[in-house]
Amino acid sequence: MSSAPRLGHANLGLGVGLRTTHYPHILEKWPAVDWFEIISENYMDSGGRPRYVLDQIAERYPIVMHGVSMSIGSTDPLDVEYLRKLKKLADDVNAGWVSDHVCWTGVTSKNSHDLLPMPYTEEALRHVVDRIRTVSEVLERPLVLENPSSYVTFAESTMPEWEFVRRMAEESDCGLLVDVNNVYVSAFNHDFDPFEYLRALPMDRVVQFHLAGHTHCGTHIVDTHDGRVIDPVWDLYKLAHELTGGASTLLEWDADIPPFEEVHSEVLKAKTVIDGDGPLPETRVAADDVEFAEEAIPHPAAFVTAEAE
Amino acid sequence: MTADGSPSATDLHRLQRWMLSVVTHPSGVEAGIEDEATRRITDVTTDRIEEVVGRSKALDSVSRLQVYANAYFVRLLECLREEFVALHTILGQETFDAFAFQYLQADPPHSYTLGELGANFPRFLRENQPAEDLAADVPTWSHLLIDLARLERLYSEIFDGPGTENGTPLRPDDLQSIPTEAWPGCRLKPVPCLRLETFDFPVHVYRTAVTRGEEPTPPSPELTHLVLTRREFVVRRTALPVDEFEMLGALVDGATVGEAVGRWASQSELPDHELAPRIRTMFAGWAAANYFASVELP
Repeated sequence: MSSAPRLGHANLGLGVGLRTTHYPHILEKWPAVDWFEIISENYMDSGGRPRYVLDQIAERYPIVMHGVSMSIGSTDPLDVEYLRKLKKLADDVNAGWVSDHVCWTGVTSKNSHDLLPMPYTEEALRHVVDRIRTVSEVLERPLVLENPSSYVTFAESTMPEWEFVRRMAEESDCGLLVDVNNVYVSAFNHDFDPFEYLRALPMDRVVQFHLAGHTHCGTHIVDTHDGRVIDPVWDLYKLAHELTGGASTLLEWDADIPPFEEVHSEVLKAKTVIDGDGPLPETRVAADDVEFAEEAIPHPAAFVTAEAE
Repeated sequence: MTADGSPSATDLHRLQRWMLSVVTHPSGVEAGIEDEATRRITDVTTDRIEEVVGRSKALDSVSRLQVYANAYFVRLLECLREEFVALHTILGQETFDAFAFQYLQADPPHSYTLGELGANFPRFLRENQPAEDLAADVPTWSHLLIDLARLERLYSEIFDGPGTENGTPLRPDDLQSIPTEAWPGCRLKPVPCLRLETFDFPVHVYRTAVTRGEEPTPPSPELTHLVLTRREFVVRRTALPVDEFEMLGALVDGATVGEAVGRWASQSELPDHELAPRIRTMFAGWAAANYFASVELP
């Protein structure tokens, strides 16, 4: 099965993940950002300020929805109510596309609120492909799925992750969100070549890229979204850009979030890669400069606290 | 290695049940692997863990599972600390985490949204209240903790729930335009975010002080009747005297203005000539605070 580049989606340029701490800046300055990505779950149940802010931003910027709770790989039934709310929000904010992760978040009705890894087996592949088709029908748009960072591999896996992702995308006709940082993180954690991973993906299905920082613990890397993008991840991004001819690119920064301009300037460094002829950014972080952390916690989901007088 | 015998238990389903059981075990990964219930799903011991989870060049299989296990409780505890910030402050982190840790085991997350994580925390605290406190004549420390948890959960629900910001709640001028003879038969419909709750302590004052970065002393018992609502996307709370609180409650429950006012007036100690001005002041104040969405004329 073939498809138009990016499944026909536009290349939106360089975007930033919308976070509550940046609301005041955005509403006051209306910064020149190409587009915003939202965490779907932070808005689909909001009848208050988050949704009010989103509606204003959606009037001025392209919005893309990125979820953490679809649990496409779980053996629990799909949450129909969740999908209904997701579709309504996508319709309301005219979302460019709706994405989530190649993962499961829970089973037997218990939710870990984490992005748990799939075993890469034929059974798991059939299961995920069937569910992607169902979800795409409910959402009335192709689903876009992201490769997750992972910290374990399963003995029963019969294929590498990149083969699973490629076959999943082709057999279900879904789009791909390639998180370049996740490729780097998982490659380190599972001892594979991240460049081989990227070259194996069906690049005409790549709708979007993610960039982010991570935390290196020496023996493993955790996807913490709490810092700058390091050099080897930019190198992977450069290859991904060359292989795809370019796709919408977004920076995620979810912990120790700096002022908006700093987050925005980090993603704008991608221009150097996209333009192809400029010097590398001086503020890039080399892999050798990374200090090892004792421990780190991945935070795939954001929690929004109530404002009260 | 054997499955649990369930005819519908596919390899994928079994692996997911096993992993979730291991990484959410309260005593850690190794205890999770060895747990009898986990071994009924997949009968593998720690020394044979590589039959299920592979190792990397730098990290053994158990340590890799611990990345998920470490994150599970830490992430959820962080969310509960943020939602119940005043309860966290009054207890201190160690004690708060102990309560929250027990709560997460008794009532693990089921919803797709972290917004529901703390929904049953007040009930959990109430159900585990010391027996001697339940029989106490005066509100105790545990009553204070439950009050704080109730209040903070209400804040979350009101913050995320439907509000008045996109509508046109009833204003004082709207009330004044109602013909005098129609007043007794009117019913006032509350805005969707209006809640009336009674507490044994003035926990709203304590909570506000905490969020302002102050270091308040724990409040003493004081029966507190709060009206909670939301304006401009911020949760608002107002303490009312009991007679006003009860009259407002009667209106919210569907009583006509005549019924609610009559009940209040019959119990009021105000002289007759002060009743009408007092009623006007109350209703104007409630309308100014956006408590009512509309009026139903008789």
